[in-house]
Formats: sequence, C-alpha cells, structure tokens
Amino acid sequence: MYYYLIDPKQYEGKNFEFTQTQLLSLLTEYHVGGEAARVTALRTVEDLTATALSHGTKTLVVVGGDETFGRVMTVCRDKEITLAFVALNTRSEIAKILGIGHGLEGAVAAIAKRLVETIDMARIDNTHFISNIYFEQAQGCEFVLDGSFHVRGDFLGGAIINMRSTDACRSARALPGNPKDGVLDVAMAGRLSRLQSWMHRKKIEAHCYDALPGSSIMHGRKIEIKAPVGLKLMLSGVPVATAPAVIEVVPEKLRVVVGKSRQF
Amino acid sequence: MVKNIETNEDTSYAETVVGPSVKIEGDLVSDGDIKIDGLVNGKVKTSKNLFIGPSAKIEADVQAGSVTVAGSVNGNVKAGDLLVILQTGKVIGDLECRSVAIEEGAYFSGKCSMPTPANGKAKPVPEED
Repeated sequence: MYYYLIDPKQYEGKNFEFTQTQLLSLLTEYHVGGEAARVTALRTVEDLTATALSHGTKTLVVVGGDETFGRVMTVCRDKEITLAFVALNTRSEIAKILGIGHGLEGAVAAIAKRLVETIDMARIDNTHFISNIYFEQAQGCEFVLDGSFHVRGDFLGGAIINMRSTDACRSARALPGNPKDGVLDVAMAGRLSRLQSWMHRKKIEAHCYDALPGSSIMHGRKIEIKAPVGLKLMLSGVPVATAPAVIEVVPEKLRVVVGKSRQF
Repeated sequence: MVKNIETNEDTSYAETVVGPSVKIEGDLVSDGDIKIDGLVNGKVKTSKNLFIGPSAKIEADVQAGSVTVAGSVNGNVKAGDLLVILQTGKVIGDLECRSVAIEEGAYFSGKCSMPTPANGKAKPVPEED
C-alpha cells in the first residue's frame, strides 16, 4: 500500500494544483495509486508520517524536497517501511543521488519499477540525513574521528559525506560517498590562493572539497566536531546544527526506492 | 644506494589522504591505502600501501604493507613487503621490511632488519650493463 505525503511548500513552479493533478494521473497510469495527504500549517510532515505508519503503510512516497525527505526519515528511522521520493524542485540532491531525476514521470516510473536498496543513514543531533553535511571557512577547526585521533587545521571548507551527487565532483581520486559501506567520508580542503580559488570555483560552490588541491579524506563512523564553537553545519543549504556536534552513521537502516541511474 | 627509484605508486586513489593543512594527533589506522602530506603525532597503521609525501612529518611508529617515504619519519618503520626511502625522505628509527630501497640523498639513521631468505642466501644483485 502506497501513501503519498505531498509538501507543496517545496514546489518551485507557479501552478501546484496542475502538477498535483498531473501526478495523481500518472499514479493511476502506472498502477501505483494510494492514499494522498497534503502538508498544511496544521498537518505537519511529522503528523502525516505518523498517520501513514498507523495505517500500516508499506511504501511512503515523499513528494516534496530534500528537507521533507529528511523530516520523514527522522520519524521512520526505526520502522519497517520503504521510502520513495518525488522531487518537486530542481534543487533536490537526493533525487539525483537516488537516480530518480527531477521529472514527475521518471519518479513515478521508478516507484512502479520498485527497485529497492538498503542504505546507511547518518545522524547529526536529532536530524537524520542520507546526503552530506558541509561547513565553510573553519579557522582552528578540530574534530575527533571514532574517538581515536584528533584532526586540526584551518579549512576552506569540509564535508561529511554519506552520499552525494557526483555531477560536479568528478576528480582523479576515487569518489567518496558510498551509502552502503557503513562509514562516513570526511573531506576537507585547506586554504587556496586567489588564482586557485578562481580556477576551482565550481568545485568550491558544489562543496566538492576532496577534488581541490591539497585536500584530505578520512573515514569514520563517528565524527565529533569540537571547534570552532558556533561553526554552522549545513544540510542542502540549510543550517541544521552548530559546533560542537556529533555526526554518526546508522548503517543499513533505510529501505529506499531507487532509479537505474542511482549514483552508488 | 641507488640514484633514482621509479615508484609506480599512484597515490591519487589513496583511500585516506592527510593533506598538508592537517595535523593529526592519535593513531591513524586504515584498511586501505594512506597518503600523508601533513603532520601526524601518532602511530600510522595499514595493511596496504603508505605514501609519506615530501611535506609530511610523522612523529611515531609506522606499519604498512609497503611504505614509500619522501618526507620525515621520527620512529620505527615496519613494512610487510617493500620499503622505499626517496631522495627527500628522512627516517630516524629502525627499519623492518622484506626488501628495501634507499635513494641517493635520502637520510636514514637506525638499524635495518630483514628476514633471511628461505634458502639462507641473500639474492644476488644483477650486474649493470
């Protein structure tokens, strides 16, 4: 049984009603119809997820953005449920990573094909995520990996990666971000000269710190970011926590519908 | 001692990379290849390849499948297979490995121990043409 949780706030177009009608039509066409509920001011993402779980839903389809998916995942983390995703905006990194794409038809076709993968989740404080957390301009940065060693340095930026879109991050180095390996990848880049910053501006904008010259890559299950205090930790462009914070991997916790072009 | 050692190590695919802007305190243990260009105050251990870059400085013992030293190591180095000290390399400590190559210009101060070959004789060095 499918349950569609629709979050219109994440829609970036002008005519949401038309898009929703189009979606419902596609669901019928692909024989994957089910109960649909819209997020409102009174019915939050968390409320609707709880409703879906209480109805014994086997597949919960999140129709919205990365933020919606993250909130649903936090509620469903210990439940026997499969999640699917339909992106309502082109910013969605999760849609790219899962190989679902940003079009409605492609996403519905992926749900109908029902190719399911079990992947790792990660947690920062009480927020669960599957993509990556990043920070920028960290002077006197210090973190501890798996409680075994301290890493210190001044960084242009860094990312703690469970998985990520590889489009902008192609480099000679083996790409980090395998959500099935049970570890998080930590990529950091030191300061660059003005010329280097300009040359690598696209990689910096895409937070591909491992593709920059002189970068570092490490791996761990638990990363404690200790300093600088107050450092903003971002998830899909939204600050989710500040240092000090602990980021942990929760291995093979999430069953998710993926497309053929998934990036892992 | 040899003048130039050609190392075939492609360090761009190293699983763990410690960049020049990083300082590590504690034991760095990995299952994959490690490349170090920064400062490490603690043991480094891997079953695979370890490349210590020219800007690297390690203040502890090192253990790996094979080790290439182009930076500075202040501690014992143990390699399961080949140990190479390049021209820019500096090792103050004992070496333990199956085979060793030290490039001209490298600095090494310590003892070197190697297991005796199975037939009890050391491998003859091939003559240069």
